[in-house]
Amino acid sequence: MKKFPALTILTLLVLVGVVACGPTPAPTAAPTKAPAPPTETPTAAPAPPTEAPTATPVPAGPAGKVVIAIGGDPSTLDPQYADDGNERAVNDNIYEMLLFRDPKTMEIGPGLAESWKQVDPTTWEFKLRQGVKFHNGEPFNAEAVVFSVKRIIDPAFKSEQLSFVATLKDAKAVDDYTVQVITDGPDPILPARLTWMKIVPPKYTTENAKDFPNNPVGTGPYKFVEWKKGDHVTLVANEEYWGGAPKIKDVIIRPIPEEATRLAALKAGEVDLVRGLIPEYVQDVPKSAYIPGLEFPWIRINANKGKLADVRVRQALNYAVDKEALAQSLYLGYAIPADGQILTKGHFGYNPNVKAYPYDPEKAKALLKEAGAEGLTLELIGESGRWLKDKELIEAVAGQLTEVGVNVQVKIVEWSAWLDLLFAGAAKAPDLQFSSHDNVLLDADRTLSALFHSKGSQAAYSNPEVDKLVDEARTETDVKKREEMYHKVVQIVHDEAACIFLLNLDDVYGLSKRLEWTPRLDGRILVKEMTLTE
Amino acid sequence: MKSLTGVAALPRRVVIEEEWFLFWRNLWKVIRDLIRDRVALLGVLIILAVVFTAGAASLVAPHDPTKQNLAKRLTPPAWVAGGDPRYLLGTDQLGRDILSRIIYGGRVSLTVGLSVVAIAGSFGILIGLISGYFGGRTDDILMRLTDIQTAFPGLLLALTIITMIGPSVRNIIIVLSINGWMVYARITRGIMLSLREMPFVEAARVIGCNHRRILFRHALPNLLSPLLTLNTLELARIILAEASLSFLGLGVQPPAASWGLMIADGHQYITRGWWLVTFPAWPSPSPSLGSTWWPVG
Amino acid sequence: MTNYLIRRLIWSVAVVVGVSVVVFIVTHAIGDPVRLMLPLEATQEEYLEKRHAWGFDRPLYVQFADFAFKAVQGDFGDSLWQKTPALELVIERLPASFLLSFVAIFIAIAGSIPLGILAALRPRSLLDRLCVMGSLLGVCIPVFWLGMMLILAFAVELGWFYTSGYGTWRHLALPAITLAALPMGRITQIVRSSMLDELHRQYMMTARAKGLTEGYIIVRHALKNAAIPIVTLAAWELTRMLAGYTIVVEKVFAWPGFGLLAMQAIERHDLPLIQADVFVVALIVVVLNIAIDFIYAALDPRVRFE
Repeated sequence: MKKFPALTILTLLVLVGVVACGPTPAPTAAPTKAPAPPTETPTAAPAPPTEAPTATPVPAGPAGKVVIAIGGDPSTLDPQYADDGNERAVNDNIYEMLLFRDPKTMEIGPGLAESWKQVDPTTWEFKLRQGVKFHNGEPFNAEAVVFSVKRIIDPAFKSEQLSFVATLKDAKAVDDYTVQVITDGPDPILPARLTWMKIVPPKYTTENAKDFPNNPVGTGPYKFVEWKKGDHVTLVANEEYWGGAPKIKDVIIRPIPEEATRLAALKAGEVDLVRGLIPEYVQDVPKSAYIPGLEFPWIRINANKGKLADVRVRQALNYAVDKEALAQSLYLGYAIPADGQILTKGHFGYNPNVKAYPYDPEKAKALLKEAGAEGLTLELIGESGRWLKDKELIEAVAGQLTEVGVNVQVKIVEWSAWLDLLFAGAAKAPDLQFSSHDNVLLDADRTLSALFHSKGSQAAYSNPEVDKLVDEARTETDVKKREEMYHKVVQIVHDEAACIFLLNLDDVYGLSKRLEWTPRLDGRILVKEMTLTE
Repeated sequence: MKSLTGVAALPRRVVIEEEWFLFWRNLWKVIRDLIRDRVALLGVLIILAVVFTAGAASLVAPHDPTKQNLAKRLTPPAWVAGGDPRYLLGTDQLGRDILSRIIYGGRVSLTVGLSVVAIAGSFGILIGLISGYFGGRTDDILMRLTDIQTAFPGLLLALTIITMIGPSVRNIIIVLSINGWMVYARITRGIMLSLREMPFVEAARVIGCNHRRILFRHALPNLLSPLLTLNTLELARIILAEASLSFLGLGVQPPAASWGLMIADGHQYITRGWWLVTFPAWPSPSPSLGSTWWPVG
Repeated sequence: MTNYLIRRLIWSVAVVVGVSVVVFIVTHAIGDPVRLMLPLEATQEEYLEKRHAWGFDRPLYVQFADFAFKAVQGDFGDSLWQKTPALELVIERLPASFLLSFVAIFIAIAGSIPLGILAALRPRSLLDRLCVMGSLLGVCIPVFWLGMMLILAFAVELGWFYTSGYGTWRHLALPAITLAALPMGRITQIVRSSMLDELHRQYMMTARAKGLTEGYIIVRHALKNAAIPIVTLAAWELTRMLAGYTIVVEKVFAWPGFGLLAMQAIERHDLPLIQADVFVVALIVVVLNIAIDFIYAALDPRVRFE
């Protein structure tokens, strides 16, 4: 397998210095086309148990070692503080939540809580699993849940995760294994929020407040061993795990910030799992896996300003972008055009009747002409290096908009400047701004209220009807009615072309030959769901 | 160069007329040496070629450097299997012609590189000369200022300045100049410290030359050869530094290109599309290569 | 001499204080870090609340007084982003940074001095051309490119070293070589040009006439006289490495040094961490520069410090 002639090029480097660039035949294979684009969710390997959280006794004890490469060092190992994917990659294996999502269907099921019910519009009652212990021996009980809730919502704690649990007001223990969680208004998505909040041990957390962010103790399938900052985190199987000991014994999680190095480490056999693989490299790695993800690159339109206030202009911008070509050429099929909404089938509120604007440059030109917006000049703000191929996507879209006669001036700005513009409010928003949306609560509320409600933090679009529906849906406890409201909002936002809808990206992973694992829609990396074949 | 420095090292040659005469003689000598020395000539030709190509980009470039073609993205160079003869050096991640982008990118890279070397170099050398020559309190103050600037994180400075005045080629030059003068000051001052004790400097002082004259007429020529070398080295470094700024969104804006930015943008594809990073990496040494051969003569 | 040293120490304190003040002002000029710490979906109320909780809504001079008072006691506060004392975070990374930088500068010096001398002895010879060209390659190759090539050749294909990480010499070799390439090229150039100057001076003739061996003359006279720019540049390279300009190498090889930490701190506007980092870097710069001035005096007795 000599696909890449590293030595040849190293020699070439020396040669070119002496000889002028001659026609040295470098035997590099052209980047070949991607395999057939994914048509539907890959069916999972038959091995994993169907009822995820229920105990699956494993005959032999845990064995073997898996090395996982992540993009950067966790900022902290306090599970309730940061909003940080690297932290989650570690703590998802150490800590657990009251409720879990099924790895395939993403349906909410029991976790540390065995069952739950809504007592009144603002009170939810949870029956806890008995006999669960934290890694340090502390018992898991109602006190731990109450403590965890109070800790994360304490303003003095300054948690970055606050927006995930925004509606939580209080919690109280009914008895040792029964807890009531109280919200500050009816909150239909409380269960979704609780699949997010990790439970910490009250005694240990209080007594080791200083050290806790560096020495996590949870109830999960893996126990923390050491954290050498910037280099690795080591975990070991928790043989007394209530759900049965996991199959893999040792876990090493390594931050490798450089994409190309992660790939090299995978090829050299130093790591077993790499997240966020660039599609071009799928055929280079020993094994790959992908799943339609939650990442939606999109372009915000400042719909309050100038020509962009005209719906025809906004629609023209949507017709002008060839989403299919972007998905096929730029992402080699590891992306699909978004269905005219920033939601997937997995999100509550997804409207199956709304479809993407087709690619139709003629129609775009016609609409622009109709609106008297030919030769329109628009500024497109973007960033670089935050999301997969973000800068390329921005430049490609700008190129396509230019084709229909819109004069697009791209401005790539530094991350904090980009954030300032995104949150500057509708009055100061730039004409167009590239962003990417990732709704992990899997409920339309988060997306629609942030992006399209006139009071939304990132919104540059206002429509009283959308505002009203979003506000009402937030407290509507009738599931069916609530879903209909969202369908309506999605339809309006699409018809009004409130933004430029782009793509929905797949999560692509590179795996070593010996690792068996099916990725999850919510992007969590759970080692307990993995097996080693050798 | 050797004759220049040799001359200045001799205390008796301090008469102005002779210096002018020597200047012309030296220039002629350099040209004569150049013609004789094919390698040095090659160096000069490289510089001229690069500058000319960049200057006449619109005439030389085979394609529009901003024209995208997604279907043709990551086409390898023409002579490699799968290559396309229309794209001699292949295409980049958006299907743009790499050769054309290198040619156009040269404008930005050379402008930035040469301007920064000129600005940072002059300022740094001046500080170093003064600091090393006067010594004492002056040296302390100037060198401590240099230390402050050295310890100050360059990226933070760039971020601050660009946040305030916005990203553009001119502003990159400002930022890199502010970040780049310290090495000149340090080197100059180090040599000057020992130079000021040399007999010819003392002699100049004795016959009543003023400080400025001593510094620029007698000391500076002695510094020429290490400083010229340093210029070469800095030029290469600055071209790359521009890349990292542009990559962070602090510099050149798309669809424009610069050599450094091409490397930064293409770096993800290094094992799939080596031409994305390898070719833009080549012209950046060429001005440096050329100018290094020059002082050999 | 003692007086000089005392004066230098006082100046050093001034430098460290000066850098800290400037950094404080500059970081506040680019805005508070609160936005960077909240999820994209956070609301304006959450932003204001958080801003208040961190105290970024106080007047600047109050914030500065607060910072200065604690900094004097060696307390830079907790990193906003990592929630751990900032100075500890920086100090934790020092061993890895020092190891990498010192090994790299050692490789660079050990390689460049012989190469530079050889080139200067026979100007315009083939050997000279090769040295010049080789060292220029070292200067001009993008560090990222070189690092990646070394990984692909020696770690992936040959398997001699590890691609990335920290621990044994097999982890250290590739990043150290990558980091050494640029200083090695630069120092070779300076050695060559300084030696060229020295070799044509009159005393060389005198020395040869006295019948001293060529090797002795080159090392004891020429090299020593040419040493000042060489030492300056080598020390400069080391200073820059220790000041955190190892970011690219750290990133490519996932090396846990503090360059990357500093960059992340800057990107996130993590004020306490930036302050702590700059404080440590300023100390290193100051100490190294005092050392350099003493080396000057040792090399060239004419250099005096009054």
